[in-house]
Amino acid sequence: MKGAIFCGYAEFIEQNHGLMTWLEIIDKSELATSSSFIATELYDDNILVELLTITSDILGVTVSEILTSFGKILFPKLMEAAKHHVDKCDNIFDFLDHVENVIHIEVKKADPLAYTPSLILDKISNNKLLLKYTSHRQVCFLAEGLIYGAANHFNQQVTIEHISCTHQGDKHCLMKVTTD
Amino acid sequence: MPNESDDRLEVERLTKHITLLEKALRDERASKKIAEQKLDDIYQHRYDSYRELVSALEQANHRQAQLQVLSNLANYHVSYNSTAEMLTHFLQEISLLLEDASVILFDFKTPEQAISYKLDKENNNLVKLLPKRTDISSLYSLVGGNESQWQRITEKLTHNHEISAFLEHDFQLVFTYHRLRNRVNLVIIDIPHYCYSKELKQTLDTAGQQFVSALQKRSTEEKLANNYEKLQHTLKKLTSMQNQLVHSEKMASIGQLAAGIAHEINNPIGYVKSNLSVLNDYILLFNQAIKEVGNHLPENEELTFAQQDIGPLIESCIGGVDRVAEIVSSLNSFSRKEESTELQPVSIKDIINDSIKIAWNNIKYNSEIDLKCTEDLPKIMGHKGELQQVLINLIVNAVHSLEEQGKITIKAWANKRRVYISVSDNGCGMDEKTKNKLFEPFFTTKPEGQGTGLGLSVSYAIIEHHKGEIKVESTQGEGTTFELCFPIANESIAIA
Ligand code: HEM
Repeated sequence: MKGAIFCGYAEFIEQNHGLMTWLEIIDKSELATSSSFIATELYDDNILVELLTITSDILGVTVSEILTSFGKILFPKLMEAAKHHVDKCDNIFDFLDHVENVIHIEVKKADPLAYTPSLILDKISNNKLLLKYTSHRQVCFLAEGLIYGAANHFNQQVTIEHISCTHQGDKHCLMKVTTD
Repeated sequence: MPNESDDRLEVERLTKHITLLEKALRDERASKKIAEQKLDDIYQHRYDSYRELVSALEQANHRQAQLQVLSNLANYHVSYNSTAEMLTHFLQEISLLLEDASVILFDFKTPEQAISYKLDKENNNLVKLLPKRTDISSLYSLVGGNESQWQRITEKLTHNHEISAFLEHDFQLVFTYHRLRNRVNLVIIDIPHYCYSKELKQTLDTAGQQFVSALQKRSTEEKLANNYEKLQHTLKKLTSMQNQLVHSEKMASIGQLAAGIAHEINNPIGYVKSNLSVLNDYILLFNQAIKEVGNHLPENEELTFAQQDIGPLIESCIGGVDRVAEIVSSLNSFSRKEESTELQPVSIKDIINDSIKIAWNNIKYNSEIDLKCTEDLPKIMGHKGELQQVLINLIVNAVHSLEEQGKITIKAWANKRRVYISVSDNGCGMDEKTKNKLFEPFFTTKPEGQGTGLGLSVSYAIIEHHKGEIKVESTQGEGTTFELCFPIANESIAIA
């Protein structure tokens, strides 16, 4: 996984729980070799999994909760990097389509080793959308957080309902996104 | 308390230290970010120049994948023979593309009266869903006029409780098309979501359009083939009717001719015959007289011979005249239009059996008879003697066609309207020319003096009089089959 995600995670922990918590997490980690990640590098996926588990232990919250709130914080940082691709979007649904068809593709072009999830949309109506999340990383809750973050960016309120989830043994991760 | 103030100083020092370190860390992070950003920019720049190339390649790949699918579809559309098979195959394929979603199909002229089917994926066919027709007009109106296009239904289908009982998900995918000019099909795919790539959606659309156009093409083909078959059939019927007309016309004119001849011959034959018998009597008188004056007459050899010969001469004249009279009466029966004989319900089986008995002397030497009558043959309206005449004639003809040993098969069967009889032999068969003249009076294949050539023509007249038909099939060297059919006697006629 891209170092940028780890950098974002470090910032997220530091902002919400202080530098010491972050250092403590890194200290407990067996896989992470340094508290500092380089955004352009690629790191082993397992490192993130381990960091998430440790965080969950220390803070006493579930991994999915961490991921969702992490996504919310991570979004503006990712957005910073993607500014020049999104000038045309003015709402969350168009933007999500753009993520799948432009932003994540640009990410892969810029770094062929990068791996982004597939986010396939099914717009049912003007305020309802189904989103199928597919990734071997199975961090759908991160996606959920990112969507909340994105909605925030466009000054929109959304509710996200996990209709089915691979973590529950379903075939897909399906989310129903409704704007108010 | 020097210690305390020392401690405080130490803490202050450390705090300052930490603050500085934190500031250093922040600076470090900031410059790292700048460096990373630069790196990113470089990457970005480098890849921007490839972008066009990559997207062109992607498009090409995308197109190739589409083409592949479409050509597959086109292939199977071509190779499937019935539209029903094509439809199930298409639905099966679509269901597979959409993760085995279940498929419901409606077929209707008006949406208020739709027949519903379900795709049975295991057996690859469509099975009836509801026993009765169902009203899907509200569903149909949701689709609007968008034909041959996949469409999401974004309203829950609660109006029709009958259908919604079979639907698992909230928002279905629908496709409608005209199966025939006035018959519409509506396909419902019960999907949990329609989160599919643009390519897949496009492929679905194209597959749908291809299917519809293949269907239309196929139905035009089927229509054409149907029409062609009908035309062929009509042509065949017309040709056979024409043949029949020509034939009956021919028979009718021959009949008239025969009647004319018969009439012309009848009178002279009548007085020749009666004169002959009078002549015979006169000769007896003459003979008597000659006998009485016998001794007074001079020896005359020629007179003696004439006296001896005259008896047989008259005899053979009478025989000849009788034969002519017989022929004339046959001719009469051939040309007779309004039959005086009354028809009664008769059993074909009895008639066949009697005919075999009568013809037995002809049959027994060189042929075996195989008789196959179905049980409970209905009666026909007929004249027993005449029908026997026909059958005996056919049997004797069959016997004559046999070279040395042979077999004659007689069958009788019936359908709802007619009784059929066939007489087949495995004899010499006949050529086209013979077949065409078969029913003409005086046509015979037998050596001169052995047949009048009236048998079949008289049979023909009898059969016509019975409102029946006679057909012949023959292959030279293999044999001949005559097939007769007669209308079944129905109660009202039987009583009348
Ligand atoms: C609401 C919008 C977005 C959603 C839901 C989303 C979702 C995700 C998720 C869930 C991941 C984790 C990897 C995985 O699941 O396999 C991911 C990775 C990533 N996303 Fe996004 N993303 C969004 C917007 C963006 C934006 C605006 C950028 C800007 C460049 C971006 C760049 C990336 C990058 C660089 C990765 C990491 C790739 C790697 O690890 O190899 N995403 N995205």
